[in-house]
Amino acid sequence: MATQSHPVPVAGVAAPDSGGLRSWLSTVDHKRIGIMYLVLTLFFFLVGGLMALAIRIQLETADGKQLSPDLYDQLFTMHGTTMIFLFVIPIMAAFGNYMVPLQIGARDMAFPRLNAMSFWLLLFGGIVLYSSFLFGSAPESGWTSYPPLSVLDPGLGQDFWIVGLHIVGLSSITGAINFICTIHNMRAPGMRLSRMPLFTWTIDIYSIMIIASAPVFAGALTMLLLDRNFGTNFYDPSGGNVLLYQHLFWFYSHPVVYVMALPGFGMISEILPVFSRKPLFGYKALVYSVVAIAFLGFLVWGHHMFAVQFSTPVAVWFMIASMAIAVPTGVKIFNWVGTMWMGRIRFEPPMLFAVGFIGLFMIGGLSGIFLAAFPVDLQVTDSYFVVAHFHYVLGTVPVFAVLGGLHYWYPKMTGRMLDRGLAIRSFWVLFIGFNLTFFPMHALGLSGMPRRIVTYADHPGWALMNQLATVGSFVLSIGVLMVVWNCLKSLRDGRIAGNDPWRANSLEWWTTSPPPAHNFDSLPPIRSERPLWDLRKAAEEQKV
Amino acid sequence: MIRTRRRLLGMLTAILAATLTSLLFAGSALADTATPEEPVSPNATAIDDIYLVILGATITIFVLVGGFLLYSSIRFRERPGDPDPPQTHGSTKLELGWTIVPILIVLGIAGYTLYKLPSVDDTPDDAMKVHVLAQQFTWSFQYPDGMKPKSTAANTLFVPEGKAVELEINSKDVIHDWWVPELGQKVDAIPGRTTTTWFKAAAPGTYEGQCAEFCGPGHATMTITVKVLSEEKFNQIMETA
Repeated sequence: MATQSHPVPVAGVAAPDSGGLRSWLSTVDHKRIGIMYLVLTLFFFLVGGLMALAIRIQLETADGKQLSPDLYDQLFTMHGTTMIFLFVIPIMAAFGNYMVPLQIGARDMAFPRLNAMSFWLLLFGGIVLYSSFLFGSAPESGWTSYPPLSVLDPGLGQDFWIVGLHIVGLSSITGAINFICTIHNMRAPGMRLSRMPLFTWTIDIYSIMIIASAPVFAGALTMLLLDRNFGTNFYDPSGGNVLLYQHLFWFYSHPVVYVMALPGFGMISEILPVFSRKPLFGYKALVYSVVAIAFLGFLVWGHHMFAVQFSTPVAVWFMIASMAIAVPTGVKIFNWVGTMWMGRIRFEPPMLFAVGFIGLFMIGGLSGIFLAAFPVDLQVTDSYFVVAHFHYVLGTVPVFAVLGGLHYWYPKMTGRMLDRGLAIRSFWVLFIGFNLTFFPMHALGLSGMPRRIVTYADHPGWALMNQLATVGSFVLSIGVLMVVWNCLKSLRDGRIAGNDPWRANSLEWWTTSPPPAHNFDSLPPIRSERPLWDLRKAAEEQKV
Repeated sequence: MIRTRRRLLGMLTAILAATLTSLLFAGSALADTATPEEPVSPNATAIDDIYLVILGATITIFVLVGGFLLYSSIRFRERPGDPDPPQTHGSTKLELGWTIVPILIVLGIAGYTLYKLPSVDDTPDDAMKVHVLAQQFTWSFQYPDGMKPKSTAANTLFVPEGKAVELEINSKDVIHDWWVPELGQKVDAIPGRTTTTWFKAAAPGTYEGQCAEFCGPGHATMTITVKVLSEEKFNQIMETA
């Protein structure tokens, strides 16, 4: 049922032969760059996941002895750094690269060579970050790297961390400039902002947020580098300000939460209408709520720092601003349910991932309210409750929203369908594994287990809940391997997808799968946010 | 189609049942898992109160919205021959509604938090001041009026029962964090700054905590023990220099 023939005239020609390695290394085509981003970021996801497994093995029993404290500290530092900077942020650029020009009916990105540079910078930054292992000391101050700890740390790894992140930051800033220029200058005739697919909208906002916040982080990192190596004292308690770094770090890193989450929301907003056979419920409200979340996201960084003890008015401000984000986030979730309501829902794999995402993301959103109410935050912050919270927010985005997007767009990128049965089974394995891993962590945090400890005493219940999490992490890994296997196997065995296997709405489904180098031979008229739906309707009416 | 429909229904029921049983199981096996540790100090009790209000609100929201999601997933599944559904583009009334209601809920939660705030924050005037110095990877304590325990144990603070204690916290090297869950809020120990927290332990006993801000390779060993003693015992073990 998935590969229904196209009801409208077929546009585009078959993709040219994929060519040799050299043509990939020198490519400036947004689709190939997108694929390279995707392969690289998924590789980093597997590496980051392996480090998480090592952490879970160490914590499986009380007084675990598998890892030394130094190695454990390096692993959780690199796990967080990898997942955030080398996986979740750039995988949005992977899909953005591939899909944004297609969704707006453009030939390519605005600056194809700059686009290639963004990709190569990401690879280069990743290599710098990881090469610290070769010098015997990976960074070990956590992905947050608060001074004075990160200044006093004698290892070279911290400097690799700073320089690597500078390069990765450059990659995301140049990528963001490119997305903004593309979206605002290269839309096809008729593709008004008010008709733009939600995913493209979220990539636009993602880019604006990166440009507004990443330079601040770059400044913080530079001061850290100077403090460490050139005797400055920006963060030194005598003369400088220890907390300055935390303010700058979170002024970047809180917006980054939405940088990671919003494109995931965009993917969900693409998938739900297609598989519910309805338009998005409240398209405008969804766009406004994306903008509102992005704006509020810049005003709430202090909720990561309640434990440094703000004066009461400052703490109250950060509490209320943080809680305010619940409102647009709620609007999104209600509008998603509204899209499904009275629909005609097909549970193809992308839809399953999308609905799973909404359910699990709600848990992360709601546990955020506990952390915004600062007296409660002061009880649970820096405990496993927080670890549970941010994995339900930032782990559900890649595991459910982005994999949903991958299942949705894989046919477009490769021309072949994924194995449906395997995809559905992998969803359930991921779903069970994810909850088994992260749900018990709420309870662990409430019963007093701090994060980032290499061993723990055998307090009542701690070992049991840690064991559940460890078992869960292995189930989760099996699910990830199933997805990877499905992607590899379907490259060869998958059914031919055709242009539009899902009977979807947006322009990327108008052209061939995969699209030709120039993307489109011709474009359909664009009169709403669902040009392909309109065409099908018109064709049906003609038949009648 | 009908077969997969049944299978999905079956699966959803199974998940629901599994979740409920595991919740029940967890509830009976570990009575204290859904809330912070049993508080023994008024500030910790106030935090617990706020926690419970938020827990009630969030569980209600989760069950309601999750219920709608689950219901839609089952009720509106495609059946062969169904025509396209009505193409509703939104509803201003509904959307206004589900913007305003969350605003009210959030204001309610914020209001209750502020109402409880003094019980968390305000240190009683008659508190005994103890100076706490954190350093990699130990805690040391300086009692008022030159008091000193006759025999000290590592990382152990002795306090009398029923007496408010105010902690003035500093750090010698990197950032640490004071956290004893039964005694309320945690607070960072920051070099070059003084932070404060307080508690008033209602019952004698030993309360365990540990450093909650990552501070280096010994972070996991930087434990805290607070021994709450009867007034009489406290005076016995303390000497005045």
